[in-house]
Amino acid sequence: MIYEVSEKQSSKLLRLPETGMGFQVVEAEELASDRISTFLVLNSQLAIDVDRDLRQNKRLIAENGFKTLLRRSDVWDVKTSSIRVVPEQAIREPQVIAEAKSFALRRSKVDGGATENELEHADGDEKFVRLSAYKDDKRIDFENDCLLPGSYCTSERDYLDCVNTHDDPLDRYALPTDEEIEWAFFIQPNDSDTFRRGIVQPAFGHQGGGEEAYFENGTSDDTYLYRRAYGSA
Amino acid sequence: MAAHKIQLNPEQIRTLSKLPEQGMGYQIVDIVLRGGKKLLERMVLNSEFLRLEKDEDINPSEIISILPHQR
Repeated sequence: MIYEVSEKQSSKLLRLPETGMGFQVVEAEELASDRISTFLVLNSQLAIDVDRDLRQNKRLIAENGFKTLLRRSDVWDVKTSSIRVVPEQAIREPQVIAEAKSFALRRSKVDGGATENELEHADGDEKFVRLSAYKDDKRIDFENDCLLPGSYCTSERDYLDCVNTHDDPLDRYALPTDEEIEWAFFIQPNDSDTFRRGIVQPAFGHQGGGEEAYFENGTSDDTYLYRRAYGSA
Repeated sequence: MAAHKIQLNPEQIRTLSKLPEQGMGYQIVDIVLRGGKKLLERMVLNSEFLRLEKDEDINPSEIISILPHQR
């Protein structure tokens, strides 16, 4: 189950330490049963029952959106005074922490890698981003302003999530380098361009979980927009 | 010598730019050197920099072919 945290509960949670950026793992006593259950609390707003099905609940949030679920969720029927943060070392399921971190960083594990998924057409509006340690990205044809065939990007939305959550791009996109990502190259494919969308799979000791888009045939001329320093507007 | 990388020559970069990536900004390739020695499953960054293992030192001119790694 997913619950909406009341103002009073939120005030209590805000006085307690976070388990990780944007989330807390807490225990609380349920009003109806006196049972003590474990919850993952996101942004002091949504409480997810960890003892029941965390993965299914994560999917619900991913599909419906945080705000929609807030409007639809039941009240969190626990005793406010009983809420306490579970020390990380006491969490019985380390997977809970991994799941919570990936969720708080808005990473996903739902889909496979891009090459496993169906070909789709770009809509002509969506932007994609290539991240690089190098100012001269060799996968971009700067003469024709396009992406070369066989190149990967992430979506602009996922790039912004990465930046705004202060996530580590090397880990999010499972990049096999320790060089700092310094540049972001923006591409806006035409609606005639095709690609495969997926989720970066774990590799090179990294978790992955960011979005990836594979442009087997590259993009049309004049679809490369501009280069920005990583994280800048 | 720690793991390091060498910059490939313009022709090799052009060849790599025509080969598919395996992820954003990198390719995994098999390389054949003059004399027949093979370097298998090697990482190339930005279609430009070949990562070498420690104690390895090759000159790009020794490379006679670069192909996508065959699993």
